[in-house]
Amino acid sequence: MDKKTIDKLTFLSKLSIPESDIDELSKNLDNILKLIGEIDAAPTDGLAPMAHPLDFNQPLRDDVSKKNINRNENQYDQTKTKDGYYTVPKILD
Amino acid sequence: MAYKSVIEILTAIKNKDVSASELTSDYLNRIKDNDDDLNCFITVTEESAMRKAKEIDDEISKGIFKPLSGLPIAQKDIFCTKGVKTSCGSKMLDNFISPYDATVIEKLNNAGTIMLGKTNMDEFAMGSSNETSFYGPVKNPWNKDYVPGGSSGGSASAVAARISPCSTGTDTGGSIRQPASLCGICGLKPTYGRVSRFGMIAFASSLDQAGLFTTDALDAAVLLKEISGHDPKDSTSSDVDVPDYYDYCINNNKSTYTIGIPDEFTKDLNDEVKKSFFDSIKVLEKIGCKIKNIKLEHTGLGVSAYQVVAPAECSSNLSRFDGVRFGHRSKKASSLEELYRESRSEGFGKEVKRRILVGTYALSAGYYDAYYLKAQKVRNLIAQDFKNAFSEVDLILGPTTPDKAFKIGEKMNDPIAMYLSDVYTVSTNLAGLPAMSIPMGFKDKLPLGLQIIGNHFDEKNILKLCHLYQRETDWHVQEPND
Amino acid sequence: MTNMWETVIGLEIHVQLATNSKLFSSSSTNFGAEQNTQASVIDLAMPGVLPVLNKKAVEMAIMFGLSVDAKIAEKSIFARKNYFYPDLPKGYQISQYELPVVYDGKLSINVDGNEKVIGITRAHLEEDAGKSIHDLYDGQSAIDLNRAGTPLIEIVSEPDMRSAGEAVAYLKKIHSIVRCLGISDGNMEEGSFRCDANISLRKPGDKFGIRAEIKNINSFKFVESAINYEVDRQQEILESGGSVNQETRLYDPKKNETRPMRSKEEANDYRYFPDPDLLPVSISDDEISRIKQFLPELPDTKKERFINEYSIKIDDAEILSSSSELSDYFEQSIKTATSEIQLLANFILSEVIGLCNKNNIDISQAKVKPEDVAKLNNYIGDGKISMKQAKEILSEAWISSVPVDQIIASNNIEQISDPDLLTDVAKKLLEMHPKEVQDYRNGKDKLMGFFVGQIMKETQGKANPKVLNQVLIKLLKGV
Repeated sequence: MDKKTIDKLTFLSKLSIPESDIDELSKNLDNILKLIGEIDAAPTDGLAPMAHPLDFNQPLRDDVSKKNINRNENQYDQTKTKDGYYTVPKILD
Repeated sequence: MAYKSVIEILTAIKNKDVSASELTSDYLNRIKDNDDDLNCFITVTEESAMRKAKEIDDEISKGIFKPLSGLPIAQKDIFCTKGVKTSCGSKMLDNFISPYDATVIEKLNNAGTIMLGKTNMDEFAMGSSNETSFYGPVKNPWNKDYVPGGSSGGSASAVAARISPCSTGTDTGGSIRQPASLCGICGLKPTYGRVSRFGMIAFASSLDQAGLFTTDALDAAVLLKEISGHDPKDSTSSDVDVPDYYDYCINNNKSTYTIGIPDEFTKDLNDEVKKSFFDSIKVLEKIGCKIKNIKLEHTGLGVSAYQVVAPAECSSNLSRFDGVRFGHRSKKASSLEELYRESRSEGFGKEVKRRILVGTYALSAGYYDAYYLKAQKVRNLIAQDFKNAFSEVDLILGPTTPDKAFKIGEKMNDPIAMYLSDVYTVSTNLAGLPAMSIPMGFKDKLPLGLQIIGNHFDEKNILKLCHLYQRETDWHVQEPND
Repeated sequence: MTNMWETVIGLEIHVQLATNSKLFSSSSTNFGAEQNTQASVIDLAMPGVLPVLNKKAVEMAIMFGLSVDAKIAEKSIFARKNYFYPDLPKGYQISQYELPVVYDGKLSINVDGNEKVIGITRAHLEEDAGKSIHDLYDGQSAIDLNRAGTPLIEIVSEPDMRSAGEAVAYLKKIHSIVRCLGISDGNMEEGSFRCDANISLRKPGDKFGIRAEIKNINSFKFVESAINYEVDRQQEILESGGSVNQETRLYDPKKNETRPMRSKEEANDYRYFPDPDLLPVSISDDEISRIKQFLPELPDTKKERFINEYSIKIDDAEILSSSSELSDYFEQSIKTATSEIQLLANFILSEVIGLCNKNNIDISQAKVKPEDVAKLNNYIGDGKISMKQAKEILSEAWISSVPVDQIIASNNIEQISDPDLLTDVAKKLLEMHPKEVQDYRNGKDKLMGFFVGQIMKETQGKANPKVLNQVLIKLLKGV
């Protein structure tokens, strides 16, 4: 797997890989791609993709709102919040 | 105090031979004495355990008995526990205090169990040796140079070392059965949908299932009833009736089974594993089981399909760990992009990153059809194999793992070798089937596991067969320090 | 040069559904709560949480589908759209990709008297994101996740519109439908109803040109200005031999211009795949029939009925049927009406709506009851009051909330419409002005104004001009 592909994948997945790890990672990813590439030859003509092991329909929930929110518990880590807002470095656009 | 099983403990509590407080304090002491070395626990909840034990004793003195009153239990650190650190074995969640309880935790708490602590695991359940944990590897109590298996390594090792009578685990590709096998105990992965996934930190949502570690199959039967059933908070949990598994094991007349042995599970085995396995089959034949050779033709594709589906789902499931609302946030970040990239790169270990990258690749434009969609079709192919097999046999048997435990460090730099150790376990996750591993012998003084796979929601017959086997054998009562 | 280019517009409309709870959690959807107090562990995407689908939201989506002649999917699937943004807690949005709940619908619009059918490709359910506030703190953006998880339907049109006018007509029509169905409050200021516009130009007959997408436009007026700006911009580029970039742009109402977004969404790859936490939703024919029974009368049906039942003008029927508040007001007033309904419609559309607009309130909050408006019209018809008086009474009633009958009685402003009474007054006047009578009879027609004026003075303006005219002509010409 080339550096360009790895760059694209790390952009999409918001990871950064130190330059020194790229070679090892690239080698491992190649081996993994080889392993998973084995499905290519599988005789799956006419088979539907199976997204889920269970074959039943989605149960639905009644539209009842519940007031059980404890903002203090949810914001246990106060280094990430201000006045009840979560804060991040300023976003442009 | 030498209670051998969950059932013995529950009986002793009920007969007031021992109090919940005495029992809890005994197990906490065993943890203190052994866990510095074994590293089974990430967090020991001594204080809350003793408090809960006292509450249970008060209840008992008033004549209130719950199904599992006073039973100490260790919880895999993948289950959210309110007010207690829930790390999932990752630096990412090293500071995470869950504001809520997982359904499994809630059910076990309500049934009267006492949580001893949170057990070590591979980071985000990604691993087969417990070596990817941020908290260091867990050791196998049978030989401390060896891995206990993973990802539920801490839970398995703790039960094998008898520092907890039982524990919870999760199984995405073998993460209960494989460590149970390598540690010489019982590990049950129920049918997908049998147990709620709410509050269980997701690795691969369509494969993950919560389950149990015990020393005896009957113990698993007792516990399974308490954690099973539909949960309105989990759309993928099933409302199929939950039977009284223990009662079925003890009182039901069914005593013989048609057992299928897939060629694909036995053809590449080494001599010792093969011998242990066929010795076990002889035991079952002796009690009247019929043996049938069957085919699960596409077993060989299981690991490949699994290594597409699981990373694809994980790449999406782990996006919530972005450093914004909880979990690790990098101190180096000065822009949003850096906040994401640095927090995630510092918070996740190598194996987790690899899987996220592979999953991202498999879902990305241009590769989706060749990888993700194709893997879902292979999944169907594998499910069809099982469906055909279960039209002929009641249960399918094989070894849980190709070999005994390997040494700590041995496969750490070879992800492919690590992945292939799941070869006999992943296909049941792909098909959503229940399966259990129980001890069937030893190789070089390290345990070997027998895997019993059942049809959907047929845990009761898996448990029953295991119980029948354990009546004839004593592998499950052997302890590491004997 | 201008007519060389054909404008091609497709709209994606996001409509917040008026459910009590969120699409996948039980948190309240109320607007305006304190930050992050309506964001539960599920909305915050805490580790281990799972979504459970709101039944009402599915029903609302089906209601919409049935209202635009669309097909309802027998089996519908939720998918994850993956991207990172701080207002998107899971790092993916649960939306629909393949198999949306509603597909293949259509809607007819009316622009300058011309009917046109706009195709609706699909309408799918998805969850809204939270809000990022950039001007609260120095160097930091603040995130409020109260809105995260609020149910939306995204309505995607075919690229069937050819002008800003058509786009606005389509948007207004969708707006009136969702409001009529009661599935959304349609409040554009609060963001309950917002729109993305895809715009491209081509030479007639050519294939579609490269399009730009303008995001998050939140008023009818801005949609029109944004499209017009974008059309001019693209035309300029194309005519100078350049090509349009396929990109996402933002409309700035203050400057009335669009500009490209700084974050390049195009670099993203959303990696849609079926959400493994949710199973397929199946919708049975029985369920669809059940929902059909509860559908209210839709604007188009109502419009036809108004035309047939009340014989009012098509354009008036269009407006009166566009919102249920307005049509309710109109139909309520009809119950008391004895005069011609077209006149009543005129009066409501010009006078009552005029006052509402002036006071910036909805017709449902009008200060004068529909019954009273009908009475005023009845009195005009009977000749009891003049149009001018009716307007004055309406204004007074609007301010004082006093019933119109009481205003008429206490101010003695009834019109004199009795011909006998007016004949008596006129006879006296004519007797006092024999010369003028003679002149009139000799052909000086404009003296009629003099007689009317004198009688109006005499009656303090209360004489019914129509009746008076008849009376005078009778007396003067002996007809």
